Amino acid sequence: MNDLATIFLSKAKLGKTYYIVRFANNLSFYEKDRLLSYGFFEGNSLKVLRKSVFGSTFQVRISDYNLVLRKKEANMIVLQEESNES
Amino acid sequence: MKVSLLGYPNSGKTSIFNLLTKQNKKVANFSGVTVDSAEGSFNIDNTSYKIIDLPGINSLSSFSDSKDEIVVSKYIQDNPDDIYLNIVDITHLNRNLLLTLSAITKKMKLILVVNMIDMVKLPEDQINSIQKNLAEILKVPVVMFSAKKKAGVDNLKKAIKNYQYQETTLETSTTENIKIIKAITQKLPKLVSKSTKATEFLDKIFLNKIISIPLFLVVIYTILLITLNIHILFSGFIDTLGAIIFVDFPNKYLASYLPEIILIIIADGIGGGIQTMLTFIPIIFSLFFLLGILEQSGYMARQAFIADGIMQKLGLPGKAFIALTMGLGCTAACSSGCRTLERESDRRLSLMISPTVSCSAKLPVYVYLCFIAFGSMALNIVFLLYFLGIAFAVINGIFLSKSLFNRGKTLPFIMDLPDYMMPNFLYIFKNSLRRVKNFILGLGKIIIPMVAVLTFLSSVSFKGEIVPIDSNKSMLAQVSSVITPALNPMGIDDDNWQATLSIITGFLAKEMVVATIDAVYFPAVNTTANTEEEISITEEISTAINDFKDQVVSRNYLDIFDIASSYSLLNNIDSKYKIMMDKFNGYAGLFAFLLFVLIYSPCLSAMRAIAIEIGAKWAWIVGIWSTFNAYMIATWFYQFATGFSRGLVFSIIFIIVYTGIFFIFKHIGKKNANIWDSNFVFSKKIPD
Repeated sequence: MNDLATIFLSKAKLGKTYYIVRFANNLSFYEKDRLLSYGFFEGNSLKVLRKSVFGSTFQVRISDYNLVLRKKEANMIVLQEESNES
Repeated sequence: MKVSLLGYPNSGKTSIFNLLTKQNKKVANFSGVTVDSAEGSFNIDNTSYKIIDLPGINSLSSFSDSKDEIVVSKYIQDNPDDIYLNIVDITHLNRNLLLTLSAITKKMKLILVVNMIDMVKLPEDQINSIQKNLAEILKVPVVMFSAKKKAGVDNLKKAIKNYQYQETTLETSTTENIKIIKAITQKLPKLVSKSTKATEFLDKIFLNKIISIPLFLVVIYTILLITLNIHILFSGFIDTLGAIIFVDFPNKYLASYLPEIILIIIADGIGGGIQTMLTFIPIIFSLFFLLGILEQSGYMARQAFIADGIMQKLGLPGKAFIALTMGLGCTAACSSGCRTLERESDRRLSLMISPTVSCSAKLPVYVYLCFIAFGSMALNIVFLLYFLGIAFAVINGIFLSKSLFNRGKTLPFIMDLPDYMMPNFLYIFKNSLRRVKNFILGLGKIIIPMVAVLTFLSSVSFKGEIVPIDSNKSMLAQVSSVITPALNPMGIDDDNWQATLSIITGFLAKEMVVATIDAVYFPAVNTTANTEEEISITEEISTAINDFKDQVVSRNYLDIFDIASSYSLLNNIDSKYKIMMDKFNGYAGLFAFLLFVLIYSPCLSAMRAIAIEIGAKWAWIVGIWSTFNAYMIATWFYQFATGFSRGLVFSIIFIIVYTGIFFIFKHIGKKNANIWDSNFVFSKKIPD
């Protein structure tokens, strides 16, 4: 059933709802800890609301709160499009 | 018995603290690092409990270098017997519970307080079932709470009183924790907080790509304008009142008992110092009040998002922008704001660039000098200085981040963007009052003794005679005259030792620049005639109050740009203008002086605050670096303004000097990069 393509958060389309699939490989414990403490859990829904003027900072919404993160962090998170079935 | 509050920032810890203690709030210091934290007490059935409001944290792991998180981790280690009230926000349960789980697996004595239940509008039986569910899975007491509606206080007290530790069976692994959280949150009904819609709408305006930056500039401009107006309205009155009480009073009634030099120190020195500094209370209050509104409403966090592009160029997290904006109030506030930064070198870099963000005490200096020199253009010049300061901060930051702080790696930067919220004005009001209080206390601790010494030095010659403050024979004037030739390149001639003197006093406190200038440049202009007449103090005070009343009534509040009309320090402006133009070689020299004041070292109390955050050595580096930059930039400006060819020559010197510094800094930075952030285990990899 997992035939939908996965993409990095940094490549996500604005305004579209995705699900968090996993973290990128090779993250340090610290980085994982940070991401988790901000609620980047596997299975949570996520939407990119806007990018900053220079395009290097992202505003995202996880369930119902807003976060700001940078491109580097956006490249640590792998998303999957919301499937139409189920 | 001790109870401590643990939770994410914005989970409502402080409101719960205030509910329990009925606002017996006092600021406590944690060993070594002064992270503000509140301590209070409350009673349950005649048993007294101590309660501590720990700083809000995002994670309990030991992998952090954020001062708040270090302090909390250490506190937990040192106080294993406390009962910890873990406050979680029901609307953000899934991430809040991660902290809860790591606290439980650390075998802390935990009571889970689920706050903000009013936000979700659920029927009572559903709230109860959430509570049951949480208690069953986590095996800790769970209290449902609403700080806003003041619901749950009795239940919480009962839970604290009956607390029994229950051994946990939960495992420590992260994946296990996530499973548990999923199990809990899946049973929850979908929760949508009410403010989300409004936030989305406001974000469309405040985060709009085109208008967000101009809008921010307008907001800052407005804040400065309001503060300026408040300053103008009150400064005259406070100045007069301060003069009557702290200067005239001792002069009149102590003159016959004290030797002249002691009287000068008490009345003109300390009294005059207090008089000047009192006029700053409205400015400080106003700036912190307005910045507090921006911060609490959620606007400031959004500006951090907007400005993050620039911050990335500086290698700083976007949060640093908020700390730097606090620098508009006071550089000391900026340095405590830097605590939220996670890396020591980030805090250092931020504080290295913070001095050019004009603090509240510089505002009156600009106003005073600009109104004397630039007349109707004054206001524009004042704002120009503010924005130049911000530009310098950015350039300075880029320079340093490429040289001394060239650290290669940037930290993961993730920041909460809380929903917009109606600010709690009472809280901001109290907080601003606290800032004013700290200001006055700081004044007592450092400024007054220093002012006393300074007055002594400026009233006594090396031969031991008492000389008037404007005389060039005093010890301080002599020392200033020795230093002055070094300031020739920036337009301060040898006969202008007064400028040097005011720069020196400005090291003590920026507000002293105005006081010194007013005293040493214009002694004759300011002399008041009423020393001959016998007017009682009470009469003087009532006259001052009446004048103030007249002014408040007669002022045209709609014309906020009309500043000069009621600025009491600006009496005899024409003669002052002549003196200043003569002393500073015209506009060029005066603006160079203003540039110097804008950039040079933070004042003594700010330096103390910086030393607390990043160590005395670094405070010295901040002071020397900013003073050096001030000298270079003021000189460069003056040279250019007074002769194009000389300007070009100096530009070359300027470029050579800074290129040299760049490479030296780069070398030092390279050598120390690993040592400076050695506590930081950023790169440590542990298999999960």
